[in-house]
Amino acid sequence: MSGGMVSHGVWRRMTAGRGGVISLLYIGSIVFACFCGPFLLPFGPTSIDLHHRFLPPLAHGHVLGTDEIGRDLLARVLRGGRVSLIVGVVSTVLSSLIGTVVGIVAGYRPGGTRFLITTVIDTVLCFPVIFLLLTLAAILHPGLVTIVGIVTLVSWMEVARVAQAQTVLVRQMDYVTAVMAMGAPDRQILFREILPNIAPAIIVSATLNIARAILLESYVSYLGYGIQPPEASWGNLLNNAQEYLESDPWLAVIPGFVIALTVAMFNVLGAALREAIAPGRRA
Amino acid sequence: MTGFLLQKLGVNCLLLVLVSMVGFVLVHATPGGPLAQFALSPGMTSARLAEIAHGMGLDRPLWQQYLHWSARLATGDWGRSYRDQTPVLTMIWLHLGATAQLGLASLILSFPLGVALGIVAALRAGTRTEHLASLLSVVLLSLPTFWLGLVFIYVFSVRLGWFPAGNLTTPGHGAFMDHLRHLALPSLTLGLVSVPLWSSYTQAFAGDIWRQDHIRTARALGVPAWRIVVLHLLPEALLPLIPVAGVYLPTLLSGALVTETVFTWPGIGRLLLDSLQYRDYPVVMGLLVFSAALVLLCSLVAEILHHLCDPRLRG
Repeated sequence: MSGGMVSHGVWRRMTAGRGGVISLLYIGSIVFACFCGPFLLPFGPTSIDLHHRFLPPLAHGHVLGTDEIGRDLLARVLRGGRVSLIVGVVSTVLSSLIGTVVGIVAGYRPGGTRFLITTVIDTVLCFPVIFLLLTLAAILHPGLVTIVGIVTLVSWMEVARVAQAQTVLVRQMDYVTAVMAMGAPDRQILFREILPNIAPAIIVSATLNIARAILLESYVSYLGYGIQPPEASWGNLLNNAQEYLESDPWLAVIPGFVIALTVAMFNVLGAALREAIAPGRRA
Repeated sequence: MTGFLLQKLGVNCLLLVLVSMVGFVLVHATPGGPLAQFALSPGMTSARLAEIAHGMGLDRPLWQQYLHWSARLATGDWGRSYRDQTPVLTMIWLHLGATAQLGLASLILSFPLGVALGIVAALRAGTRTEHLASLLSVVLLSLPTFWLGLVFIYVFSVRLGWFPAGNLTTPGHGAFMDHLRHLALPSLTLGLVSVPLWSSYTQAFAGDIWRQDHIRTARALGVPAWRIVVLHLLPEALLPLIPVAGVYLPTLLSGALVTETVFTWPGIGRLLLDSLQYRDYPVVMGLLVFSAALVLLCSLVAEILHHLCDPRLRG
């Protein structure tokens, strides 16, 4: 079975279900909207208009209304989405790379190395993730690069655990034992036998991780230690929204809804991918 | 059992040491270090700053400082808050109660809901019911905690006026019922977002058990489904959930921090956030080590409990 056939089968199974199609369509649209939308809107995300503060949705050409200093909410949601999606995707790519390497090493080298790696992972997992994230964010200078870095730092362990478990499984397979017995070098075993076999599980785990990373960024930014205003992110749009909850609830409701929907769609995509890669089995 | 216990204890002690190192290094790696707060006060001279640094032992090598700090940690002297000189342990203790109430109330809500959802999804695998249950789990998993809290405040507090929007009690009105009314929205928020954790594990465990021979036999003999679930499936599926508590507690504490912020609930999450704002490093270090130690202790107790309850694990 060639790699092309495998991925073709996965694609067919994934797009056969409603979840896979809907989530792919949604993610495609939100990415397009966030990266191209701001250029098509008449309002900039940071242009202040004090004559039109707290406009409700659909007033004066502001589709989602305006915030406390008259900035267009739609422009800010799209602009913030750009930041949140970048944090979600970039930190997931980085943490998946780290997690895969660490996990494969731990799975392939039992004994001291594995003990060391699992101990490090267990240590980091002891800390409540938001506690660690906030402390790191408070210590470091806030900004896009910092947020990507610290979200990566607190999320590589999940992938590492998946990669380790899968590597242990694959390593016990007869054909891998055979290749090892024939004296194949480690490099060949790792890249030709183990990596292709554990890649599907890692891709599923990474997709779910994007959802988690977007949520984490929104928490840190909401609590004031993430992306700093006037730059928008999905979390910091809700920073001040609580003050105006009584009079202008949409300032809180709309950005939060977009976060929830996007995170849910990445979760649905992850579930559809898992189902397509290993039909009928739950990892 | 003794061997297992000793091994677990050993690993946990090692982890505890590593955890305290992480907490220590994190805070001492900050720009300005633990002195940052003092450097900001008006009229501070560099000579006076050096004096304070010497008084706090900050001019010694880092490893000596760590040994000194961890030795005091072990004897229960966790240092004093920079803000008002309260001992750190006292401060944590004063805020722990509120978090414990919130955690317990949300657990009472999320555990039965999660287990029920997981069992329904496992028993109806491949049907519309399972899809609905999975959809509900995904939705709850994807809700930002602070947003759910804000929506609840808007609906139940601002619009309907059923529950208060924050704080432990109404000032000058500290009755029990009043307290419960204040607890309602925060625990509902935290409880709902914790449901998917229980439901996903339960679904996996219950699904495996449901396919086993003794269950199939019982079903073939015509035993009603509810009887099988209550008498056979539930006890077996709940056992492996005990060690999940070790995963649950850090999630709960993270969620509690966000919930406490939205509802101005004076728990340890809020304490951490306030301490970070004031650069109150002894409290930050104390809270990091305390929360991690709590997680370790909880998972150790859960593992022992699991061993005691499940005869199959006793070798």
